[in-house]
Amino acid sequence: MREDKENKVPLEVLLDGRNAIVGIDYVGGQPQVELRDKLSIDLSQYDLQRMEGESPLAYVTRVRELFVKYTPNADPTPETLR
Amino acid sequence: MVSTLLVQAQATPQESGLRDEKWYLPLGLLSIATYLGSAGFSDVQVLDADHDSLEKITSRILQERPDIVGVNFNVFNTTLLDDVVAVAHDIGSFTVVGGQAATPISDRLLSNQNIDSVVVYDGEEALLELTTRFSRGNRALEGVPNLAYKTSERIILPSRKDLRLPNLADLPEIDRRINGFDFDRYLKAWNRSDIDPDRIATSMYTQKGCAKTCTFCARIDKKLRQRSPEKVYDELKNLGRDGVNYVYVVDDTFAADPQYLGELATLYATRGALPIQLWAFVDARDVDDVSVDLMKRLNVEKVLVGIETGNEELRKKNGKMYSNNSLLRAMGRLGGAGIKVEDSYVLGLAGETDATLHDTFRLAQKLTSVCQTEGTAYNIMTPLIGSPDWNRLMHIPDLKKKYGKGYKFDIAELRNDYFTHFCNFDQGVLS
Ligand code: B12
Ligand code: SF4
Repeated sequence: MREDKENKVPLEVLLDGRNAIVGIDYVGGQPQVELRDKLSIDLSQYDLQRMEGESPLAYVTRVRELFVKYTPNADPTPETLR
Repeated sequence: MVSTLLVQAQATPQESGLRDEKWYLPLGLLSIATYLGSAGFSDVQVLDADHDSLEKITSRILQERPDIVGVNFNVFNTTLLDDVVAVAHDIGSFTVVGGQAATPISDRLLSNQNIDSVVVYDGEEALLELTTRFSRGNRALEGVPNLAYKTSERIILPSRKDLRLPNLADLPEIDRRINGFDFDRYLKAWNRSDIDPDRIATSMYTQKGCAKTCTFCARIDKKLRQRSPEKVYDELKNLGRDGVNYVYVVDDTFAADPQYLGELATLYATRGALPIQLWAFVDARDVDDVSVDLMKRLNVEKVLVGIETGNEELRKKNGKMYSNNSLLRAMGRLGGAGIKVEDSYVLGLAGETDATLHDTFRLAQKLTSVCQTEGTAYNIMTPLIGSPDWNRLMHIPDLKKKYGKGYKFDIAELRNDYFTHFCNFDQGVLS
């Protein structure tokens, strides 16, 4: 695996984005990274556009729900902080 | 003896949609109570509407008839504020409202006839001066630090010379059990068995203030102030004795000063590491090899990083000047060190379009490949009084008319108005 020398972050992990880290354990001081295939969701299929008669707030709320649904480990509470 | 009752407005009312987080302490009020106690004014009670019902609070006021009733203000709970000050004012208590969200709107709050005064910025010095004066029968308000109040003719806002921010290093350690305050019910309130069933969590602060300039943020304290690392270490140690194993550090940007973190880490090395995991807010620009190493040494388990949007231009427009690549590198460093990331975004920033929303989604997905994300938060933009974004709103005559006075707004309507004027959701064509 190529490495970004300066930052010591494996570039494939950094840039390709096909895999998601689902767990990092430290064994003997070394990170053991567990990867799995990331969801390959193309949100454009989910009408990321305001529908006729939909208020901007209703639209943002709907988009938020989509994002929450398709992001691994997202916070599902209706009102998050910050 | 002057009696004071301080009330924390309910932070997480059910209908607000906020998560029920009853383990968060009303740190500001406890800090004021501790400060008054250390100056000899021990008749101070702290109630918290997240635990104490409105009925309990009002009946305590009616029973005990405190000389001073203080209420903390927040945007989601103005009704509770109005109810409490009405009861208190009616029986002749001196009412004072305070807190970060109260600071930019002292004049608006004073339009409520039941609110006698508003403390801006930190409340310790103001309440001490008020209590000292009242104990001597002196009810004059002129010159009380940080105090906005009204006379029969007008509203008096504190002048610059009347503003005082305490040196945090001089403040005593917050007494979490002051005058019978029931800390245990907070320790028992941890309810996230999904992320950690064994957590005994509490909140504390080590630093206050943030010099950064995000346009949606209404943080009132623009300068970083710090408690002494020794006192922070001692407090953490004491919390450990109370059974706490996880501390939410509520500082705005925990890693802003690596030297400070370094001093704390040195104490861990010389006086013993503490078996307490930390959670903290961290700005991506403060994440480098040095700060990550220090956070690791301080047992930081997770950081909340406000990334706000996946679109670089939009992020810059909203005051956060960094690229997606530098963000990914920074988050990769955290990932490599095994520090989890709670990535936080704001949907509906000024300038948002369908395409920038999509960028946010894409970036959030990408982030999961460089670090372990947990609790990714997509926040719907709330324009907050005191933020640069609120000022944008006030430049629009119709909105100024609608929101230029008072402090009770329909948050949904406010958001909708904001999106209508500052976002563009009609033309986005997805790539
Ligand atoms: C913990 C926290 C919460 C908790 C509150 C739980 C609780 N019981 O406290 C939760 C998670 C619920 C929360 C919610 C929100 N929060 Co909040 N929260 C914080 C946080 C991280 C720490 C607060 C704290 O304990 N500080 C330490 C204590 C010692 O300081 P303090 O609270 O400022 O108290 C001092 C003074 O303010 C003053 N004071 C405070 N209360 C009173 C009362 C009286 C009577 C007097 C005289 C003085 C006084 O004196 C105190 C001692 O010096 C702050 C950030 C920060 N660093 O402070 C953000 C912060 C206060 N929150 C903020 C925001 C935006 C929100 C939300 C609006 C987010 C949202 N969009 O939903 C909601 C509001 C919802 C609500 N109902 O409150 C902003 C406030 C900006 C603003 N001016 O409005 C802040 C500054 C975060 C930020 N950097 O943007 N929050
Ligand atoms: S959002 Fe955070 S980093 Fe930005 S100005 Fe506010 S406290 Fe500082």
